[in-house]
Amino acid sequence: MAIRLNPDLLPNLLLSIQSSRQNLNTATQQLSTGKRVNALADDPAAVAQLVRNHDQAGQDDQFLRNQSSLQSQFQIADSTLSNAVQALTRAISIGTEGANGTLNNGDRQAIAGEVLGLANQLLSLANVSYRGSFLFAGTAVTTQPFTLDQTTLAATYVGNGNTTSVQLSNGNAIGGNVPGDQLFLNGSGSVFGSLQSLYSALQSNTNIAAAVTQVQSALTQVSTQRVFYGNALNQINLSENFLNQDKVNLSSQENALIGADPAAAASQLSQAQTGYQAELAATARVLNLPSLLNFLQ
Amino acid sequence: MSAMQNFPMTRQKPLSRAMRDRRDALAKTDLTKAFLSFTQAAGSLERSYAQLQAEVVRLHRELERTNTELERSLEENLRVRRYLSRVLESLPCGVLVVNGKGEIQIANPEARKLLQMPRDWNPAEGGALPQSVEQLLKDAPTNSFFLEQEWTSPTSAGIRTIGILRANISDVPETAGETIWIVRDKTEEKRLAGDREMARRSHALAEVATILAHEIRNPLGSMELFTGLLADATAHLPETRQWVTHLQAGLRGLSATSNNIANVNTPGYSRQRPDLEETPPIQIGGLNFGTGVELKQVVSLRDSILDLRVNQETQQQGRLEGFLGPAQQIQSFFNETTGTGLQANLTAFFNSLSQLSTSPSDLNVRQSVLTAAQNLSTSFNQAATNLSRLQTSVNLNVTQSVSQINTLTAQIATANAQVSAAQSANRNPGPFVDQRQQLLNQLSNLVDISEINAGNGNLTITTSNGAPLVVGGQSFQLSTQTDASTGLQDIISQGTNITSQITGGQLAGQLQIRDQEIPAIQNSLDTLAFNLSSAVNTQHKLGFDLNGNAGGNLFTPLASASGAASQISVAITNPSLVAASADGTPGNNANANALLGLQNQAIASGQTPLNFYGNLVFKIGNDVGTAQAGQSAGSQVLSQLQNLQGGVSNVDLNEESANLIRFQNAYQASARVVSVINSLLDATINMVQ
Repeated sequence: MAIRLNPDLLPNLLLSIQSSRQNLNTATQQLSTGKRVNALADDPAAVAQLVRNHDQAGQDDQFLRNQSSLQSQFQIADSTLSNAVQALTRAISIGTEGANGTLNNGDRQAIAGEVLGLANQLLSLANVSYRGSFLFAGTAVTTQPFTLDQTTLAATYVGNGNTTSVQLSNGNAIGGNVPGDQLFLNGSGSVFGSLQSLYSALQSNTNIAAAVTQVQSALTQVSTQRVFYGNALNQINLSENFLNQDKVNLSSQENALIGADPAAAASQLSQAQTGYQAELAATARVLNLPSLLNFLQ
Repeated sequence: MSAMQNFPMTRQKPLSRAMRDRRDALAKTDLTKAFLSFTQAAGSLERSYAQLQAEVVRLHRELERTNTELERSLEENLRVRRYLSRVLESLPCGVLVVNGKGEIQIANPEARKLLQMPRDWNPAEGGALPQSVEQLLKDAPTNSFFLEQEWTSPTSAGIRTIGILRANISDVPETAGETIWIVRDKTEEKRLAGDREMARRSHALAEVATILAHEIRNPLGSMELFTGLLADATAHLPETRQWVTHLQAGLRGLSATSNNIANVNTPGYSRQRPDLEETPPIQIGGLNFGTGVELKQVVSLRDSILDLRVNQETQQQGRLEGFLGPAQQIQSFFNETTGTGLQANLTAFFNSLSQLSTSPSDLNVRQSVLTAAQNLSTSFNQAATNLSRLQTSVNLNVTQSVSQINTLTAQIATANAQVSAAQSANRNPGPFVDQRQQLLNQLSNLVDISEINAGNGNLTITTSNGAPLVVGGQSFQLSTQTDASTGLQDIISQGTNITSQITGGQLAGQLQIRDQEIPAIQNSLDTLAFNLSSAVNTQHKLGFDLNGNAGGNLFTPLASASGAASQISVAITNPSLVAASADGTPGNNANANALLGLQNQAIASGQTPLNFYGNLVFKIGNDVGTAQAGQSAGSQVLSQLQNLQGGVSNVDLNEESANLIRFQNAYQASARVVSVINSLLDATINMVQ
């Protein structure tokens, strides 16, 4: 004899209607939020990865903001040094002119006057600041680093020789500055020292050529140091590309982690809909099933 | 007087000398006597006068006294009248005094109101009376004393019923015919009486309806009665008696079927089946003759093993349900898919340090570090508050569950007693077992139970760890008690703390959330908050602020990890105190870099802060996911078990319809046989005669 079946079909039917509705809800939610994971329990591992993913993306954004600020700072430093090179080139050219023996004293004094002007121009270049910080003061960024004695052209440096290091991205750090003394008072070619020599040589008409040579080595020195900023800007560009690429990767990873596949979700929705309707139709049929009572007269 | 009589005034003719002498002597004596009498009389008069005088004085005094009394009595009279008039004024019923001519002498305000007389009506002036009152006075019977008369007066507020009681005041002729009328409003009284009558009638009607309904619903009852009578009547006829028993069996089968059909949708009802048995045959001349059928009993069809399995599965489901409700709330506190949670603020804090390393001397940037640290602290604080609030509300649920358990165990104890009473009386205990099973199922949803059959229909119910809940007809209440160390409610059974021993039902789920899940998450958050703030503080103190001074604490230092998430806060408000520099120069960013480096250091239980937090999020999601999966699998099992249970116990209308016809046929056949035998018997008896 067959096992007696539960004559009450309703609880079963209601249970399956409920589960169809659940599927319908899930599919609708996935489509409307565009996410496969809407609560932690939907995929705990994916959410844990998502936490790291969001953190990384947040860091990338910050690094990109940092870089744009560094970029401006380095560009200002670089163009300042480029102006310094121009000023030094002019000093060499007029110094060479002053070394010409045909010039009279008055002409030399005039050239010395121009050297004084150039020295002051370089002073202002060396004291350049960006957003309140002096760029060539080492880490003593709040104090103006250079002063110039207007009679002797002797320069004083009150900054320090410290350098900083900044991170362009995780684990990728570069130097953040070149201290001013290294740029303008370098032992192997001091900008202010050579101009001072040139100034006094022109005034006394002695050893002008030697002084011009000193200015030349100062120029070489500044050009050499300037390479730092050029390199840094290149690195920033590279890093920026890397970070942007990383962000694209992270975003596609996020999508893979918790994003819904719209096509799949849409087909799930239509499946759920069909299922739900079928359940309802079946339930309605079963509810209307006649019993033996209907046939007994 | 007597003296006067002694002196007769008579004129006599002159007498002889002797006569005269004698007469003189006699006169003398008489005079003396008279004088004496006079003196006596005068004395007597004087005394009488004095007496009279005294009497006059007394009378005078008497008069004075009477006057004062009269005065006093007059005053008294006035006062009494005043009292009376005040009493009359304030009486809740109306008082009228009407003289013999049918004129109103006195009418107190209530009477004026009730009879709709003008408010300022004055008996002295007469004044116009409403038509209705005039009519009333005219109709007044002269001799209907002490008989209340009802008078209806239409008012703006509907019909009013007014009761009037008349009485003669005195029998003195001049005031004869004067009557006093007591007037009162009987409208409310009338209405109440009407309501009462209506209620009585509808009650009687309801009673009749109930009896009718019962009779209509249960015609089988009357048929049962008739067959019973038939059985008694045929007691001396074994042949017929046998068929009547058959009739009764068919009837009772019909009754069980009709009961089944009536209860087709009753939750927990198990179908009943009449248990028919052939009666022992009799042997006549070596042959066995059947003696018919007998209804042994009506049994309810249940499978107690299935019941037990359903209850066990319900306990598991209850536990997961109790756990999932609050767990889903926890999950929403940390829903990183929508950006709720700590990740954003953790990242932002380290990002602010990253920015600081590029512009260490910029005050705006320094301020943003403090803001980010503040936001981070706030999100820790909020998470901690959310968790502790949830814990408090779950704690309340625990108390509620315990009180529900107590209600159910008391009901189960009652059902136990009913089952055992039915069994002792050899009645079908099925309906009470159904009810008990239903209660046990509800109890299983709340707490893990184990059922022990104690015999005689009694079930002993304990928690699965043996704390008694129901023994026979007695229930043992659970109670709650505040735990001194946690401040949460412990569950006490017979003086023993069984909080940690509850393993099933909603109560177990609630306890799991309250005592394990929430504390574990709180603990993780505390660890993170404590380790992060101490590591940041340690590194911060190694650096120098914008003024070149050694750095202090960035976060307020915490004594211990316990409660750290709820207490973490930022210690400084001045942005120049952020220690970004490692050497005291303002442009140095080495300490900012070092602080930023903490982001990737294993400072929280061997993990970076973010990984530690990520794992916490994973744990929360995983716990909820596991419970959800368990619930979904369990609900399939439960539904399967309930199907099996339904297969045994649920009413199938087709089956019952078939039975209905079967029992009907059997009943009709038996009835037919009874009547055939009856006519045979009649014929036989007639033949004998």
